[in-house]
Amino acid sequence: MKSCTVNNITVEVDAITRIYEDRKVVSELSFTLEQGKALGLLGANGAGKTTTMRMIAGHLAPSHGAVRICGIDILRKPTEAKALIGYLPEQRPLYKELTVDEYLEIAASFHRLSSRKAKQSIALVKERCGLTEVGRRVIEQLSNGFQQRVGIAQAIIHSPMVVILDEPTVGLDPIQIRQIRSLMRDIAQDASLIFSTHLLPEVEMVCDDVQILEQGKSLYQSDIETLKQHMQTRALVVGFKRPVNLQAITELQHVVGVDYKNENTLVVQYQHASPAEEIVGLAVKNNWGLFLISEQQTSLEDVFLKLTKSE
Amino acid sequence: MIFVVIRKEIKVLFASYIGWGMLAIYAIVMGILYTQSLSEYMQVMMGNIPIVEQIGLTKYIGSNLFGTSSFIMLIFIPLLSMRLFSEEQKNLTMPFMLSAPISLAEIVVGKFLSLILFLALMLAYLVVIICILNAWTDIDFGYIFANVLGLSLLIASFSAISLFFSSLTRQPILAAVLSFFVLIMLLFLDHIFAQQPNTIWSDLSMMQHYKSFAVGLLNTADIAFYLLVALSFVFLTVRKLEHQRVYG
Repeated sequence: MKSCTVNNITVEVDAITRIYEDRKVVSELSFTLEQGKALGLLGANGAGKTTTMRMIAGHLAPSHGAVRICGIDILRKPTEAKALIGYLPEQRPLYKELTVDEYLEIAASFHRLSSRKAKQSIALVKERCGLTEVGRRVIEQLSNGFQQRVGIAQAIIHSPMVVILDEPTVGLDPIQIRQIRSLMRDIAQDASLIFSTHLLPEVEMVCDDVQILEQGKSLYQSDIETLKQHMQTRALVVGFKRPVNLQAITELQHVVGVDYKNENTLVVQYQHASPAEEIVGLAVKNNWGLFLISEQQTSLEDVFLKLTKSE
Repeated sequence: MIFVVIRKEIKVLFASYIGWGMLAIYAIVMGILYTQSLSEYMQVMMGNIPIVEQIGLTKYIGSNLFGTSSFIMLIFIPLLSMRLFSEEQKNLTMPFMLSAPISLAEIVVGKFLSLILFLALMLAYLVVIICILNAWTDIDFGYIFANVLGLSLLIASFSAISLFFSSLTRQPILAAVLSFFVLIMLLFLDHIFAQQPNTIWSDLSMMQHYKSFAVGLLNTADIAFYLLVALSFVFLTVRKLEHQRVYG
């Protein structure tokens, strides 16, 4: 496994700004990413995710700021830095008239792999991406999901330190999405993975770090565990089969409010400590028919919408 | 790395019908013209057609084939070069190459050389069918060499100009039409400015510089002219892509 010499940090994005016709599409964005970590870029359409990824991949030059891959400045030494990157844009750059094998051979030669190494790498990525059976098929004849896997295969053929995937699961069916996510987790074992998505469960399943963008600016930046803690409100969802005495629950220690979620379910808000044990005790004592008690968790969607104050 | 780009372009070209189709069209057109010219020359020799001027077989056939080739290139090159950048930008396949550790200059030069190499196959076919005649008569190899060099240089400058126009737009057809009209203009600048034969415009005419090669002469000024045009437009294409990378 390759490794970076600079503190294990693979990607350093240092105050990058991209200006299109006097409009800042990305503004003063900074973050770092360590080897073996996955970073999810979240944001509404036009938030600057694709532009950010294109700058990290070396396709666009930042108007200000710098991007360093394993300490190598991508503007000053683009070829050295690009050798460490694998990139799959949202629109797959596939030459559909070629077969999968031909396409991957070209990708390997573009990344300076010797013919012996190329053969090994092609066999390996085909196995990792589930393409072994379709190597001789023309890309155009493959399904959407398989074409996406070919796109990912070309991005990882040279075992890059940093893999950048722009909306890798868009347009795929649920089974294909599950397979691609599993592949992304596999990639993030060795390399650093940066990907953008609209699907928030994907962030929870794949990411270690999260970067939320709004109008080109960093709105929120943390690791996934901190984000999940943000998502937790101090409330219990409690379900009873029979009518309950609301007053008794409200008077419990730490409880600050009780609301009906629906006919049989209550939301009990509390401070300091959970009153779960006392509620269970009351329910048993009064035979309320308790069938549900759990911590209420705000979905990532809620946090995302709250943070971005959606369009 | 330029070789890798050339290999990719040739592979993609022959994976579609375009490459094979163009080779076939060229071979058929040249074949028909070749047999027609040969039979006409035989008629002249047998006295069925009055001899206007004394002319050798190489020149008689060569002038027809090389002359027609230059006009075929005028159509083929814009059609082939539109694929190189316009179509890649339209199909969003450019990131495949831009992600690789290859410089923009290597990409441009590789694409340029792949086009030349493909067209060289046509030129090779032309040379072979003319040289076959050496079995029956003495072929003027000097004349052929001058014409092949002239046509190669014309192809190189046509290709570089078309490549530049291909980098300007994401619409392949627009790129092809634009470069076709610009090439026609540049080819016939001397005719357009026929009233003022000694102006800079006639010096810039591509046909003007081709004339010496067509009669079997090698003129270093003409060679330099074509090389300069080709290099300038390859350089401009690199600059255009760099500009795109910096300013989007």
